[in-house]
Amino acid sequence: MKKHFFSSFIVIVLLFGCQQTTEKKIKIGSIQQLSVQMAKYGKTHVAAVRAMLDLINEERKSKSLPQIELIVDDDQLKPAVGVNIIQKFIDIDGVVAVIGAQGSSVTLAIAPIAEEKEVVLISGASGSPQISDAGDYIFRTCPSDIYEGRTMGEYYEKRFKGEPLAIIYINNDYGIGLRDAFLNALSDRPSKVLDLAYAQGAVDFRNQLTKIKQDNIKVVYLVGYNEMVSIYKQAKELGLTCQWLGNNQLNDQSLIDKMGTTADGTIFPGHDFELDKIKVSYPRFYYRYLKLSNGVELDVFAAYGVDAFIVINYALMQGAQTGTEIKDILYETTSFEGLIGNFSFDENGDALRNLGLYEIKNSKIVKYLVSPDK
Amino acid sequence: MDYFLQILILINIYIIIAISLNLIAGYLGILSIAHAGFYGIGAYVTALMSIHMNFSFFVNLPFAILVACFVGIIIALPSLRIHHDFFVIATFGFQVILFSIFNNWIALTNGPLGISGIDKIQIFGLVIDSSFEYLIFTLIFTVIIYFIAKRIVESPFGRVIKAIREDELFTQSLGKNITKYKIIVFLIGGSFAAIAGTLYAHYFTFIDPSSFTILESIFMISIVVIGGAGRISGSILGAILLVIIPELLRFLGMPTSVAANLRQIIYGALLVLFMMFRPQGLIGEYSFK
Amino acid sequence: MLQFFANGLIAGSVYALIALGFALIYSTVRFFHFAHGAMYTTGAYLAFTFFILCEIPFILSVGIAIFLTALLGMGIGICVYEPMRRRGASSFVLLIASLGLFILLQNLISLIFGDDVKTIRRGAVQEGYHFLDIRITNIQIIIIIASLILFIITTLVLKHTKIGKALRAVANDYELAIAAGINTPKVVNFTYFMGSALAAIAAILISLDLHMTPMMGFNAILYGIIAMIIGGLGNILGAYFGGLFLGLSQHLGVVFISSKWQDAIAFSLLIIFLLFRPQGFFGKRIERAQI
Repeated sequence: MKKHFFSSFIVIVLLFGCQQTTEKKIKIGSIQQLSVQMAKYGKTHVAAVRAMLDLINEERKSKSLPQIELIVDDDQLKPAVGVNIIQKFIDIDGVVAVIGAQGSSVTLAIAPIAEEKEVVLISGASGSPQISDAGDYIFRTCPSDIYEGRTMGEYYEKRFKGEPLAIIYINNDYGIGLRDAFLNALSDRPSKVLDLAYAQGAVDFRNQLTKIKQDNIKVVYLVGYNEMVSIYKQAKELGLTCQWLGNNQLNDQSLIDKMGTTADGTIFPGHDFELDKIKVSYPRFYYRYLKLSNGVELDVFAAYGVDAFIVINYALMQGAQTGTEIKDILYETTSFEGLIGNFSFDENGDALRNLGLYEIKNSKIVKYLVSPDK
Repeated sequence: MDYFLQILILINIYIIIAISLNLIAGYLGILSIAHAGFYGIGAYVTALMSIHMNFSFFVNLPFAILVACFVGIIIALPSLRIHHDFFVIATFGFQVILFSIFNNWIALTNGPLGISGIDKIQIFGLVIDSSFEYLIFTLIFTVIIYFIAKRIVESPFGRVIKAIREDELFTQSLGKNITKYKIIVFLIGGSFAAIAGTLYAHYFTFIDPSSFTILESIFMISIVVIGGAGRISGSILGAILLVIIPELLRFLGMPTSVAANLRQIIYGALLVLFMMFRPQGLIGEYSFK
Repeated sequence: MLQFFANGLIAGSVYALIALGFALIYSTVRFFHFAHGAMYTTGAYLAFTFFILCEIPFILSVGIAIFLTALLGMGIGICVYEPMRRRGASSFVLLIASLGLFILLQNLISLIFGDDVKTIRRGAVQEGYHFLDIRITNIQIIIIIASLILFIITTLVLKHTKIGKALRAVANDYELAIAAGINTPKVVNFTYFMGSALAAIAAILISLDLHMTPMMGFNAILYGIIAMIIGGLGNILGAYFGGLFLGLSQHLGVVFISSKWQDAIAFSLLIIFLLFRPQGFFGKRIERAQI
């Protein structure tokens, strides 16, 4: 019975392998989380890249260039699954580059494989500082969390100068990374810092919020994902008022809509992602994206994913065929035109981006104008 | 080719895990849901020693086994005082506690960020670089552990263990020191799982807590149960099937957002169906009665 | 400080309901029905479907959701567990089967509804009532009261109704109950029905206050088991107090230790009880036969 299974496995794989040699296509792999709590971001990411892919393939067809095919798989936010996927992409599918992953732990796990096989890996969402050193073939179009944490930290220092501070954060690589970056950006330690971590999947934050209220802390740095909806809600119910400093996950109007007015007043660092600008500058892409995403609005990480795809295509158009050639072009190019403005890669493969400050006013995201005297 | 080799390496690692769990759950009859914890102990001890002290695999391995044994004793001792059914729940508890340590004791384990940059294995200065070489290396361990396990279960010691499983009271009345037997089996099982963890860490060079959760423990139980409890070759079969089939599904081009859920649904259904109609698994000998 | 106590009471009230339902079932069938966690999740998502998606009035939605979940629980008992028990399956086999059921159902919900966070609540968020230096919302007050009422109802059912007394007889001694002529299958079906209903109510209450995800049942069932053991095996009503105790100690504990250790604390409590007081607070000691 064992033998039977093994040989049928081989046969199936060979069958699939043969299918792919009929038409010459350039393959790009995409590894995203499509099935866990953060699945929404994986799906919008894939929809956005596909939308741009369709447009680019049209252009390529008109120039008699080979089509690009996107192969997508679900890493379930598990590094152990990601490594299997990327190995398959490189070995069996023969991808020329990989876009992924979103979760930093997955990206860190698959990076060594990409590096060893000399295949370019570009992440549109992983912020862990460790990725900067993950290898020459490892890039990202989003800024490292260090910048986000630093921007928020610098703002806190300028405006609140050492006032008692609480940090509520999700206990994963993202939350811990931002907390560290925030604290490291401060030149003086605040008079008091309440460190309140919560487990992934937690729903009840009242204890942490009660501690903040009890200690009369007026400035709170919040790092989380969509559970922030509950955090704001419970804070309001507990009668907690404070200045919220947020994270970039808030740069998603559909998430803010769920919060009603509970999040008003929050100031957070945004990546100059202005949806209206994109709608105007890239209408064909945008409407195609909406169709593919079933109406779910574009978020900043999906936009970064598109940027990752854009730079790969750019390199391919320049004639790059191997991973090494793509890598070289990525480092050498001084300016890429992306969905969220122009950018380039530094020597670590990190994108240099501007971070602006935004505020939530009346349940809407607006640009935060820092007055000169503050 | 590396993709296939990687799958084969994973199969080997899971064969080792399944054999070790089979000894505890299948032969001794104590269902343990803490096995992912032992696997994790092996991986973390190895990772930490490799990163902080630059020790080689051959030093890391004994240490990993030692720590696993230490923890194994802590877990086995209560089993002597708790009724069977509740011991399972206790192992649940130990698994959650171990995972909590991996995930929250950041100073030690780097928490959710995981540990990256674990060294590759070197033997006499030659680095095991390619997947093929690593497969051979892993295979050696699998074969050794297979033979050790076989010898154990076919020896008088093994007969006593099975006797304990069938009727503990009776075996005790024959004058056997049940405590001793239970602890030994637990330690052996835990040690083998730790070996598997060590092999995993050195191959993928990156580990993080998400590989050592309670769901992983349940997955390990499934391998033993579906493959066949109470028979070593059942563990081999179970490991091969439960590692290969999800990978096969990857080639079928299912819409990816439903694939993960579908996989789990099939998997849950398999567990129920097997327990309803074939609790001894595919080729097992013990049906958890 | 009082606020932490209140938080613990609210959480504890929900754990208590879960534990109560779980203990009801455990007492008659004597194995760990992990799929109870899936009943919990199903209850909440059914209520979501009827109330939010189908726009059926709230009370009706909740009522149908609870009833359907109870039916599902009973159905699982009839189709899966009882045939196995009749064939003499051990508690391990049933436990593994229930794990399989749990995984299956939870992923089914995930498939249909998606993994993101959902809520049954409608309307704007309001500040809680200010009362004795604590803040508590109306939903939270309802949770505590509803939980208490259900506890009282369960107690009354167990003590004064025919089926309740039959249940206690079966829980006490299965074979003796059969010998006494009690229709044990009917009693067992009833416990699956009632237990699952309690789980559904607990889930709906939680979803009104917090939010729901397909994974919510997993933690719920683990805490339910801990509560039941702390409360005392064999004492159904004790499980309720086990739940309250668990909620309170967990939330008061978080005052001193970071909440990321929450699960570990709960399980350490479990292990301490298993080691030093396996009968929990109110249970009977199960003596292991020794030579």
